[in-house]
Amino acid sequence: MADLSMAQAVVEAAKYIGAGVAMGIGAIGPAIGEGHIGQGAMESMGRQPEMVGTLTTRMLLSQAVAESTGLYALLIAFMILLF
Amino acid sequence: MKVSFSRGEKIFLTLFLIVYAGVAIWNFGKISFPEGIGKVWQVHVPLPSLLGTLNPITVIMTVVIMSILIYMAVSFKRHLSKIPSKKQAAIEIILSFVYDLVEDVIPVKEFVKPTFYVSMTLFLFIWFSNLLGGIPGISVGVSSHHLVLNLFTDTWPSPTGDLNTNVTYAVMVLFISHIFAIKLKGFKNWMKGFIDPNPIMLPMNIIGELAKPVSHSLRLFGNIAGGGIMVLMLSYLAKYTIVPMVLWGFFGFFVGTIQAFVFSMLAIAYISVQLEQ
Amino acid sequence: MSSGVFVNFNGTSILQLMSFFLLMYLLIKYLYKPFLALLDKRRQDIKAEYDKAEASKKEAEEMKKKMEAEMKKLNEKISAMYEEAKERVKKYEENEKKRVQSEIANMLEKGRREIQEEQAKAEEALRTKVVTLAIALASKVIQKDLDDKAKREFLMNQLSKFGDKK
Repeated sequence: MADLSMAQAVVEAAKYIGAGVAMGIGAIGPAIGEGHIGQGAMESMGRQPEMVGTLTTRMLLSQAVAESTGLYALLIAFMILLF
Repeated sequence: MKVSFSRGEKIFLTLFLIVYAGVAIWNFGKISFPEGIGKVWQVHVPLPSLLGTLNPITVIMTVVIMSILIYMAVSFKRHLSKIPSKKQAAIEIILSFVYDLVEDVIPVKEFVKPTFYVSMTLFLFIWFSNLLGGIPGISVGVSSHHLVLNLFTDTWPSPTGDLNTNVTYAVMVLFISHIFAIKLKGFKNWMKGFIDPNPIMLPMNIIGELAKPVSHSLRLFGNIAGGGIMVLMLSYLAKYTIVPMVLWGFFGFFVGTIQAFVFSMLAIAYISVQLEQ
Repeated sequence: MSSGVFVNFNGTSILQLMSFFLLMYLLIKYLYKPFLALLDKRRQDIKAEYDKAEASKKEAEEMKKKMEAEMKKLNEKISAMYEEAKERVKKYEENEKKRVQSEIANMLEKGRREIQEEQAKAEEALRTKVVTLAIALASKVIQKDLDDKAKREFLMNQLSKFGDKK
């Protein structure tokens, strides 16, 4: 790495910290949401074992939707890091 | 299901494992922390600024995967029979699974086949590139001045680990869904869909539509590229012994299959949302 | 040769888009169209097979109905024949009975007539004998000169009365 002035070094450090915090906090919500979705799907699968195929596809779809907020966090983290 | 190998396959697998273990031992001493992590090889061609930059590895791997798929398709067509062989039955199961899904979800009958074509091609391409991302191969890195070729230290660079592919496909799905909607409802009704409850919701609707390809593409990119980086890191920590193989298997096959399925299913879902009247 | 960050967006996307459409075109040509045609063909074949099975089932049903009708007809015919045979046997039996009865009656009649004739003959013979005996007895006992002819008539009358009385 090239020589940096103090201000640049602070900005650089803040970038890494900011990206890590954004990704870390942003991952909490989707994790909880996906857990809830998985719980619901498992419960209904236990209740209706004949619906397993449909429920699995629906579960994956809703988990993918719930994951999107986490992916916005990932996007923001990349933007902070790289641009 | 019982998996059985022929004699030739057994010899091939044994040789493969020996080579793999040999390379792992060879790598053990000389491995250093990967230098070009987070960097990709790019070339410049004389075109306007953004178009002039290309990622050659992505293009090469895309061509490889396309030729594998086309070879399989041609052999499928050549050996087509009413009573399917094992290979044909496997391909038919995948195809009919997606076809049934599309038939269930798409409300308008004449859009079933086009949607099936798009989503099935997406699924096959992404699935195969994700699987390739699970097999140890050549990793092409970039140091400051030259290319770094490492044998069996990383997975094959998969095209879906490049944001270009994912963004292109996600935006393409968005455009296709809106084109289908215009074809079905007419331009005026399609425009009315944006001010659906009342005109105040117009910016919300536009942002909602624009957020679709962002999450759609970043989901796949994050999973594949993140998985690749994690495999690289853990391989460095474990010095390329037995652990990375398991990781490769997990990230490549399991996550890759799930993500390819999710990507094509979301494409179907976005198209079907636009086709609802 | 140069390097860039791994999150990038550049001209590769155009190539990816083109390659996607090329891939889709080739896959439609070699994979999806044959697959859908196969699916359709299989469905049609199953439908044809099903229709065939249905048709043959119908045919069998019809055949069964036909057979049943024929059987019924045959049964009727058989029962009619049986009735007729029964009637015929009955008639024959009656005829035979009648014939036998009449024969028996004839025979009885004949026997009776014969007996009567015999009886008459015997009576006649007896009467003649009795008359002759009586005359001989009378001529012997009485020894009277009787007008033979008149006495004989008288006696005859008497005896015939006697014979009638018997």
